[in-house]
Amino acid sequence: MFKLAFLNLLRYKKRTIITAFAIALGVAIGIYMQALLKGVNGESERNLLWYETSAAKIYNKDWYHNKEYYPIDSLISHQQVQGLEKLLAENHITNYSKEFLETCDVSFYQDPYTATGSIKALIHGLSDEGTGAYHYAEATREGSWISKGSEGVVIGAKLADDIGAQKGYYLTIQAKGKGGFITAFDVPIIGIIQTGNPLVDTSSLFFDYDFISDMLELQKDISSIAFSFGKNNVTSTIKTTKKITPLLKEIAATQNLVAHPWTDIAEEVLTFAKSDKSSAYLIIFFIFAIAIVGVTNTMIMAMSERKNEIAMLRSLGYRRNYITLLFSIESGLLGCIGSIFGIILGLIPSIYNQTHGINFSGQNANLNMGYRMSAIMYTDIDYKNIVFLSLLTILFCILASFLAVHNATKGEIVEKLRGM
Amino acid sequence: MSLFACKKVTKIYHTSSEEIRALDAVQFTIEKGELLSISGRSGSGKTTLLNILGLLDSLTSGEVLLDNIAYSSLNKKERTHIRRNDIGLIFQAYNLIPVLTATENVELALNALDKESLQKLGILNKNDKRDCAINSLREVGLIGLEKRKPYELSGGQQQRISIARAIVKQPKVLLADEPTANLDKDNSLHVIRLIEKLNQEKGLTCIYSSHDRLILENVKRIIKLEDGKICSN
Repeated sequence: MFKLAFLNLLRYKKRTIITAFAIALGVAIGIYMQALLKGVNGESERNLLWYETSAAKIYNKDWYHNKEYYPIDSLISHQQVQGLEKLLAENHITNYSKEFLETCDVSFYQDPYTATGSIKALIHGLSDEGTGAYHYAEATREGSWISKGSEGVVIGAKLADDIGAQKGYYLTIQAKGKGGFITAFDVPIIGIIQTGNPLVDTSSLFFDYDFISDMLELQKDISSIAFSFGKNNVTSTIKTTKKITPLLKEIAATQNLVAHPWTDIAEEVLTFAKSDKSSAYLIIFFIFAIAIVGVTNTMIMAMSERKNEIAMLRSLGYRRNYITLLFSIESGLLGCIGSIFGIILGLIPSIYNQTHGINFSGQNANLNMGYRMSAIMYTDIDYKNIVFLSLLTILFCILASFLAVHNATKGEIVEKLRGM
Repeated sequence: MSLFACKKVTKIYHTSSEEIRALDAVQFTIEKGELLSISGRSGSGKTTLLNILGLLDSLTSGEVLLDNIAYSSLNKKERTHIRRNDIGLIFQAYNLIPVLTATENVELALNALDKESLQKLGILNKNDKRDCAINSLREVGLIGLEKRKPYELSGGQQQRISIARAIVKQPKVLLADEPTANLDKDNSLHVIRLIEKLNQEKGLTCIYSSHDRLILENVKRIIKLEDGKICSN
């Protein structure tokens, strides 16, 4: 039966090639888009965890509630911090950084800058150089990262490029201190970081916590404590965070504070990614549907051309099920051939872009699609999905032919012979 | 002893505008070992009758008995079983599968048989099946061409493959629908002689549906149809 099915495919070489090509194209696009999506999502998640949300954070309830305003009057008090640190130590949780976040105005003047002006930015005051929760130091492009006692600022690469800033230049920062007073101070740029995170790179200023605490008279109060679990491994970080969040919540509750995992903090970004994933899958589905319609059409054409063959098989005493199976195998083989070529076609660019990436910055330097990633997209091949997609293709091909053959084998044999 | 008994066989086709009475209360019997032809002009109902005898089509009313088995009492499975085991069919257009060799085309008929039927033919394994197919090709004079594909053979040779395919399962009856319509005179005679030989040597009942004079000159009995009715028998 397999031999006959295979020979029949060879019998209609042109049609087989065209249909297999349509299937291959569908599978290839499916594989490549999935790899691209997985790569983009993986990179976006890593970026969020390393540079924005950390694995989890503990906040003052009110601060979290109004987090978009960075309220300076709802900080975690030094006393609460001390209580928390004691409990965290008891539970062997040591990887964390205390941080202060607030919006500010940054002013810069022509000479040495390319223009005079001011922009809104976000102050990050980090204890322990932020190493307990983030990976900023590794993203330094120029100069150095903040260190304990340093009185300079590290700024995002995009911000630096936009205003023409370089290491050693001074910026004037105007911000609100604890109690509501407004203060302004000049700080030298000691470093520039490039994280790929659009928010960080375009509008963030990093300070040593002690320095900013002095400037804004924070009295050691902080906005949040950021945690990291699993260090460099994103998958293990995500898993551990899920496991450890209930304990963090318990610890936070003892000080009347709240703990939120990164999935809560980056809810909007993740929801956007999810909806983006859905629309990408919808595109894959449509491409796939076109390929399947092609297969169905091919099989219907084959059925009408081979009506007499079907009639002959039935006149020889072959059952409808056997004939249906024969044509389904033929179609399944067609799906197999298409899938194999599709896998090859899809894997070539996927593997290439896994190491080389696709640079979108040429088209739009300000590319920000909501994902936390640079303008270079890398693919991440999902082999399980390739197997799934291929099996699905074969299954759909079989189903497509099943419907066509089932109809063609209906009725009296003579009706098919008469149609010859 | 009669092999076929047709009792008031009627077949009516319905089109959107009219009712076509292809067969009208046709009645006759065919004995075992007979060589006969159903003849008549185009549209007289000869192919319809042959299709009904071969269980390729159903009848509107009346009854057909094959070895005393009434067609009306058969379900789909039983009809398929009879077609598979007892009826050998030859078509005008040969209906061979082009990608298969002559032997493989003949084997197709054996592949449809169940274990029990194969055992009756003495076929126990794949090799037996191949031998049986080659023997059948030998009977129709195609030895040496077993590995050829249909398109590598002449029309007469292709029709002989289809005869080999029809007789390989040792059916009770051979039904041939216009078997010489696509052949030249020499090839037609070749096919006719072959069927004649099968009838004489094996006692195989052979029924043609044809208006080919060559066939009509070489059969012992002619059932002539006109407008769905028997006008001479």
